[in-house]
Order: sequence, then C-alpha cells, then structure tokens
Amino acid sequence: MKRIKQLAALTLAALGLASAVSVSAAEETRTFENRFGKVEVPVKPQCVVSLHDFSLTIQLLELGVRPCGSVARKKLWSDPYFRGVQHRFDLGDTAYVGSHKSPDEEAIAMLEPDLIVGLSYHEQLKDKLSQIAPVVILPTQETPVSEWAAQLADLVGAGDRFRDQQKEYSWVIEEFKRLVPQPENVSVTTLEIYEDNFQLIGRGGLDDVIADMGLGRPVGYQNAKKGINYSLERVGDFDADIIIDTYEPLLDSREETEEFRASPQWQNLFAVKNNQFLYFNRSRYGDSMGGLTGSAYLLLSHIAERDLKTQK
Amino acid sequence: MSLLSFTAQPLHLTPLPGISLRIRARDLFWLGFFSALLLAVLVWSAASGSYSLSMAQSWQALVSPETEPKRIVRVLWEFRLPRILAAVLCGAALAIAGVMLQSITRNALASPGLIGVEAGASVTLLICVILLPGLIPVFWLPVGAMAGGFAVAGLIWLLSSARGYSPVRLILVGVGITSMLGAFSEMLITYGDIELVESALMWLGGSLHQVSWEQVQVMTAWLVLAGIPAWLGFRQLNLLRLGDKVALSRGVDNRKVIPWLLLLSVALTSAAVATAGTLTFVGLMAPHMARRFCGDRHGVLIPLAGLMGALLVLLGDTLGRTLLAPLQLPAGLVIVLVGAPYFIVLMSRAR
Repeated sequence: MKRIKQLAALTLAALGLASAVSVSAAEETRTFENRFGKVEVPVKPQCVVSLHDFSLTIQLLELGVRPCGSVARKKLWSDPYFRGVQHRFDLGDTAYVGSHKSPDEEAIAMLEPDLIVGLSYHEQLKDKLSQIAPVVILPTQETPVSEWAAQLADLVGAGDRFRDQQKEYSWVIEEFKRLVPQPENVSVTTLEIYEDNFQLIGRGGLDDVIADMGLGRPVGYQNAKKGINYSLERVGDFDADIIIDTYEPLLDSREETEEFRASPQWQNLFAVKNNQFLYFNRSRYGDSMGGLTGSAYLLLSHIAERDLKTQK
Repeated sequence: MSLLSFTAQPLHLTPLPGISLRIRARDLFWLGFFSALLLAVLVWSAASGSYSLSMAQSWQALVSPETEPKRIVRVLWEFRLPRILAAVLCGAALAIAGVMLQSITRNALASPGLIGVEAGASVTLLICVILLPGLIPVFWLPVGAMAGGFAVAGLIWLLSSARGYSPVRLILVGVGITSMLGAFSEMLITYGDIELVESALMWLGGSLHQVSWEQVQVMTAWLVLAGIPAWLGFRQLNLLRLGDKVALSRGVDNRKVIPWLLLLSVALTSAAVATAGTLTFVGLMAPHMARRFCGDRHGVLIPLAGLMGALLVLLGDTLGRTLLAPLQLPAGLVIVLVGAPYFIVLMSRAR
C-alpha cells in the first residue's frame, strides 16, 4: 500500500513537473527583430492568429502549425472561405476572425492568442492588436516569399520544416536550369484577365519562381507598371513566348472572359498561336513556400519538359 | 389646460449667462427622450460584440475596471468605447453641420457633402494612399484628409462668393466641384493599385474600425470648439431661413455671418470625415428627422439633430460590427441600408 502511495505521489510530481515545464516553455519569451522593429514573442507560441489567409495561414499550415484563428474571405450570407487553404488543409480548429483589411479585434481577443502575424499593410493595426498579444509584421511586400517565410518559420520554431521546403524548391529550380540552359531567351508574361481589363500579376509566388528560374520578360512587361488595370486593347504590348493567365473558379472567371479569348487581339498573340498559353487555377497555390514549389513544378513541366517555340 | 396646450407653452431658460432661450416643454421632452434613447443604445452597444459580455459585466468593467479580468476591461476600454464614442461624436458633428448648411443655403437637400468637404477629404486620402503611398505616415492620413476638406470648401466659397454670396450659387458650385472630384476619385479607384485601393475604400465606406482614444479626444475638441458656437448662432440661423432681407432688417448681415457659420460646419464635417470616413447620409437625414419633432427652431433643432446623428451612426456601427460578426460592415453602408428606407417613409408622410 505504501509503495502504491509512493508511486502515485511520484507520478503526480512527474506530471506536475511536466506541466510546469510545458507552461514555462509557452510563457518563455525572446526578442524577434525584423525591419518592422523588435517584438517580445513567446519561444513556443501555442495559439497563433494569422491576418492573411492566402499567404501566412497557408505557410503556417505548411510548417505544421495550425493557426487558432485566421482571416478569410466572406460574402454576406456564405460561410467564410480560406482562400488557397481549405482544399489543402483541414481548418476545423481554426476560427474565422474577420477580413484581412478589417479583422475583428474582439474575435481575436476571444481566442486568447499568444502571437499575431500580419502583412506589411497591417502595420497600422499593430498598436491596437498588440494589446491582445505580440504582433509581428512580416515584410511580404518588400521581400520574396522565401525571405519572410524564413522569418515566420523562425517565429514558430519550425526551422527544420522550412529547410526541407527550401531544399525541394531549390532542386526544382536547379532542374529547370539544367533542362533550359539559357532561360533568359524564353519570355513569359503573367497576367489576370477580367471582364473589361487585365492586370500584370502572377499569384501563388509565380513571379518569384519566374525570377528564380531566370526566365525573360518581354520589353513591354518590363517597362509596365504593375498592380494597375490595363485596357484589353493593350494585351498585344505584352506578347511573349509564354503567356500565363489564371482563373478563379469561385468567380466563374473562365466563363466571363471566354469572349475575350476568342477575339482577334488574343488569337494573334505568339503564345496563343503556338499553343503556349497556360491557364492556371488562381487559388491552387498561395503565396507560400509550397506555392513556390508547386508553381515551379508546373513551369518545369510546361516549359522545360516539352518542345517550345521562342521568338528569339 | 390640456396636456397638449401645456407642452406647447414656451419656457424661459438661461443656459449660459447672457443667453436667453425660449423652449417648449414638448421640446424638452423630445430632447430628454432622445438623450435617454442614445444612452440606452450606448449601453447596448457596449455590451454587444464578438467578445461575449453580459450587460452586468460591461457595466462592471466600465465603473470599476479593477474588479474585472484584464482581458474584459481591455475589450471594453480599448476596442469598444473609443469606437462607440467616436460614432456618437461624428454623428452629432455631421448632423449639426447638416442643419447649418440646410439653413444657410435654405435648401432641404443641402448636406455636408454638398460643400465639397467630404469630396476634398476623400480625394486627398486617395491621392495619399494610391498615387503617393508613403508620402505621409498612415497616422497623419486623417489630418491630410482634413486639410483637403478645408481646401476644397475654401475654393467653393471663393468661387461662389466672388460676385456676392448667393445660396443657389454656393449649391451649384458645390455640386460642380463635388462631381469633378467624384470623377477623379472614380478614376483613382479604377486605375489604382488594387491592394491600395482596397485599403482606401474601407476608410471611404465610413468605418470606425481603427479609431483610437487620441482620435476621440481630437473629435471631442472639435465638437466643443465648433459645435457650441454653432448652437450659439441659432438666432442668426432662425433669421437666415426667413431670407437675407428679413435677416438684415433684424441686424443679421449674411455677408458677415455666413462665412463664419460655413467655417464652423466645414470644421465639424472635416473632423468627422477625418475620424470615420464618409458618412454622407447622416448630414442630410438627421436634420430632417429632427425637424419632424421640433420644426425649424434652431435652438432645439441643433441639439436634437445632433442626438439623431449620434444615434444613427452608433446604430449603424454597432449593427455593422455585430450583424455578421466577425465580418465588419462599414457603418456608412449600414446607415444607408437601414436609414434610407426609414427616411423615405418619414419624408413621404411629411406635409
């Protein structure tokens, strides 16, 4: 009996010690520093809230960290839609906390998070949200995906997983360069066509991948301003060996832009005439390391592992 | 004596030394009624939100924060109260500005949007956010918007009064410049960087999402500095509504009085737009709603319209943040969606 009591006491003590260690690890803090300043963050965050679904939420999940809360897209009467996330990951334990432009501070406070991560433009919310938990702003607009993803991995203590992601991505890039020794001779235009205009944009890290692969860009593209709407009449200025457009299944953008793709301006483009127009799902990959690798595989197959006609 | 005839009897009050006010008991009743209603909505708003708090918890956190958990106190004091107070202050400011403009121009359709303050503030903000991002720090954007509002209102005044003041000319110049600025805003929104446009649109939609205590303090100062003199000018406004000649015969020279009254309404509108974005409809709707209860007597109309404006914006913001929470609907949107049908019904019943 005495032995049993001793054993029980020992077990309880061990359990107490284990929980104490776990609590202290969660409460232990360190200083994280990047271009947005120094923030005192937990060494092992237990509840991370992401202020952007298409980049930070995906990257966290790819690192094996399930955010306790995330912003998402929402139409008035529909369920929230975690863009680029929910077809790849189970989000049963992740609470919706509003939109990325105006997250609901109270919904975030309800979760009692110990870390909040946001994008560059969330800097204006930092002071207010810092009253709930430490807020780390990542330089998503200023640096390539791999750079801010490394900072995020460091924040949540997932450096090993990040290095694996980096290794796979580097291999695809090297393999591409092996198969296409002079990638600068292949020009690529990334755009998004809407009903009456288009933008020069490559989501899912596509533009980062094109730069890392060393692919060329047409002169019109190099001189054009990004992030603004162009008239459809100007599409000829951006003709290239390969044109990549993306469609959004949720918005029926394939059907809505069908008429334009039947127009003579479109049909006369070099890439279209030579069957080198690629049409990808816009939300298949997010702005994350997995997105970079996925997009890199797509380009490896569609450009390096087939016969290609170039204008040069 | 019946109750109705008693409530119509004027009472003589002296709210400030040298200010004598004749007010009917019925006016006092409506002022008291809408003050109580505002207080009730304020308490309801303080207890509503994504973070569940009971009325008792909210009250406790308000009156004795040291007895409540820190997290609850933070939700109430840092997230809800600044927003609630900013809604009340901005709504009151816009409504008072609306009353003044409708009286100065003797036009029932006049509103703060008419004299270009909102358009000026919006265009300034769009330029700073979309065309020249980083030109001024984010925290100074409201001040920039305010300066833009003042500049455009000043331009409209100069153009409309160069050959002598006329209410019709003020309205026409205002409509022209506001339309021109509206077209420029549309162009910036259509051709601007989509990410930057989205940020600007959130503010333009009339949102109190990011309001801080500092902004509440600034807004309070503006409401006191411009709102009290505006109320003290109720006699001049009463006379101006009767026409320039009648006003002049009673010692009110429109050439001297109107620029000051206009300046006060521009100050109130600019401060509100800089804090909460464009909430155009409040300045038009609240004065008309208040008139239904007290007519055109500005001594009562100004505070009653202020209460109506405060109620409208507070209701709009509270519904906007709770109806589809955590999705945040801009207060401006909710006010128009909910307020416009009510306003139409109200006006269709007016004689």
